[in-house]
Amino acid sequence: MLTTSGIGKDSEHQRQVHAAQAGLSSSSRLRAAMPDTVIAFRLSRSVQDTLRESLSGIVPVRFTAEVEECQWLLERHRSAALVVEVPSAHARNELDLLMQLRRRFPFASMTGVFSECSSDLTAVARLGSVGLLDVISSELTLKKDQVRTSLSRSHMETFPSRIWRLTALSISEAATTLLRAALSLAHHPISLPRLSSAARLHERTLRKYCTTHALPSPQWIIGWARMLIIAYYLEEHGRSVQSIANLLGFSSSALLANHVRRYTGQTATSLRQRKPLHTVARLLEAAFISAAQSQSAKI
Amino acid sequence: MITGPNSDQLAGAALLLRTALRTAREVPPLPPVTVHMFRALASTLPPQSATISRRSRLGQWIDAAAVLEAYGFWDDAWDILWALRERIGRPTSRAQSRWAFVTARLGRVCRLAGRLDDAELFYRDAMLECSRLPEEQGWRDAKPHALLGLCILNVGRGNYPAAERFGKTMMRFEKCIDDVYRIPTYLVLSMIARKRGDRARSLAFLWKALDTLPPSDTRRPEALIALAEVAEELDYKIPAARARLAALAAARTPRIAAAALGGLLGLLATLSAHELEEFASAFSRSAWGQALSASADTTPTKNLLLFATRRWLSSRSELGFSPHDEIVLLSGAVRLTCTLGHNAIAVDSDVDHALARMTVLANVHSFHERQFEVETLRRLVSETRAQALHVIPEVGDGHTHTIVVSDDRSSSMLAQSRVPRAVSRLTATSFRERIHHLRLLR
Repeated sequence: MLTTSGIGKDSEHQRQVHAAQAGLSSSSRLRAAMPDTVIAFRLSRSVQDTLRESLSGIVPVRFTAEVEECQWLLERHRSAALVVEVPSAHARNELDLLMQLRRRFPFASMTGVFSECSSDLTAVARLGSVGLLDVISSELTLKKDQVRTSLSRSHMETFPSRIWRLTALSISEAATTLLRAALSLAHHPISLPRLSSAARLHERTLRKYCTTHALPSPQWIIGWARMLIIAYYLEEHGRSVQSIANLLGFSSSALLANHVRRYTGQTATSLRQRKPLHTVARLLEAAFISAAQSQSAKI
Repeated sequence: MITGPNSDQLAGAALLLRTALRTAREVPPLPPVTVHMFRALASTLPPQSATISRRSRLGQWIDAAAVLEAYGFWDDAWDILWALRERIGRPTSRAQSRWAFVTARLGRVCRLAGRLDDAELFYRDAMLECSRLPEEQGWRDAKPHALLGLCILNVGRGNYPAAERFGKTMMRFEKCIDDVYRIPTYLVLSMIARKRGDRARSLAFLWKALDTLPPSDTRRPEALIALAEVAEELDYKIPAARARLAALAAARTPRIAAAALGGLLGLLATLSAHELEEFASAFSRSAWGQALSASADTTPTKNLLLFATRRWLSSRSELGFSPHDEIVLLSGAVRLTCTLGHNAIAVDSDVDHALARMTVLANVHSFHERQFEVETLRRLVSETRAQALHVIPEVGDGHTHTIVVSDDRSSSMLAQSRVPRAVSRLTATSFRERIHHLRLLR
């Protein structure tokens, strides 16, 4: 049974983790990237119940009203998601606290629950300015799939910042813009229209953008974005290649292995032994430089 | 006066809308908390579609995107329209028609955001989709929307022949297209004719627009601004100033307010001392003028200039100016500043910034006409600074900005009076009659 608790109830959390790991395979089958823990901070009773029901067996949820416990959990879990109720803009202390939490833990995705009685749009905007990515309305009688979809999307959108921080990628500004757009989508196969929509460009403008800035083709950038995500998951202890293939929409682990070989020249297994994310980041930097040089040579 | 939500409320609403679309497979209802706000704001805008009812679910979303456009939230408007288009799909010809319409809307957002190349691509995509539909179906919404967009886009680029071609295509189907598109077509054709020096034709299109518009229509300020532009060229400066002031009073979106105010500031810069006094007397009878008179011991002329400059300073923080709007406003403000022949610190220090900003906007968005205008303004500013200035007591009002007005304006600072061209079908008398009919002269 999930309970709100102080820091001492770690064994309860462990039980949930084990239950969720059994369910991790179900989320893999659902092909939805999810955070490793959901931290529900100061949610009302009804929202707690819906969250509990939506995520039971999929992701462990910790309910807390204490700031210190919330911070402790965020420090402990690399891929946590924070779910909060959007306050009123007049509740300055509460709003400031949430904004501080978000600034302090920029890699934890934040999803807001909007209540017509107590939330307002100004508070949504203020939280949006520090990275609140999704807001779901409690008045719509929160549906389970809405909650899961929202959490999953918010989680995926933290990946560009996460990967940048972990790899210290050094590429041109133009390349950064496109690669970040691709990374936010890279948990699924990305089509060119999809990337152009994320970059807010027409497809033809996207191609022209790549040519103008001596970048490789958009498809190539998409491939590298997917490669970075693969490398990220290869670093997760206990994560099998098959589960990564399921998560990222490859129809088999063999196809994922081909992708890895094509971009890195290595097998997934050998890559895993050599700091995969760092390795792929350096290979990507070299590949961008090489592509820019060959474009210049053509001119 | 422009009233509405603050930018935070709109930003918050935009986030709610984006989430609602992302988590839905079909077009969902608007989040309840946003319905009332968007309905109220959308009522200040003209109708956005000839076939999609504003009460329908899709119509509400189109209106919401239009509101976000009007207040400068280009990225949010884009995201919403793109997501709508994905959810509409193209399974039936009705859906195809709507898909084409939303594609044209994407073009519009790009155009307003200054991304003209992208705008053209989306408009052409919409036209291509319409070519796959029965002719009549395409002409209801998507095709006129795309053609009008291409027309306005080419005006922005200064390519008047191309703009005129698109406009003429619209006019060939004048009787078939809805007023939603017909009125803006008249207005833009009026502008093109004016730019090409054909004032008779320009006025003819303008009268068509004004005759078609209902009295309380939200597009009336736009038509008044167009009227003011023609009146200026015919050297009817006072009617032009009144038309702009009336447009400013009736403007319900920042975009129209920018056009009205920018033009008004530029026009004030060209008035002689006598004309300025005459207009200032009329202004002092307006609500704004009366409010200023009550608060400061000052003259009508100083009140007018105080109002104009204060509006310019405050409007820079308002929402929704497209790059072109911003250039119009800055241009008018710089001209007025030069005319004041001042050393008004708060305003003068902004002139260099204004010119720099205009340069960036004109270059980035390829507004070729405005590039030339910036050079002209730079020369004007240099001349102004070279002139000797007289200082009179401050018109202080407790705000940080201060205006110091010189009464001794050198004639070189005044714009040359334009000799009105003969307008064969339209005499000065008939023009005044029409102006009177529009209640601009009292």
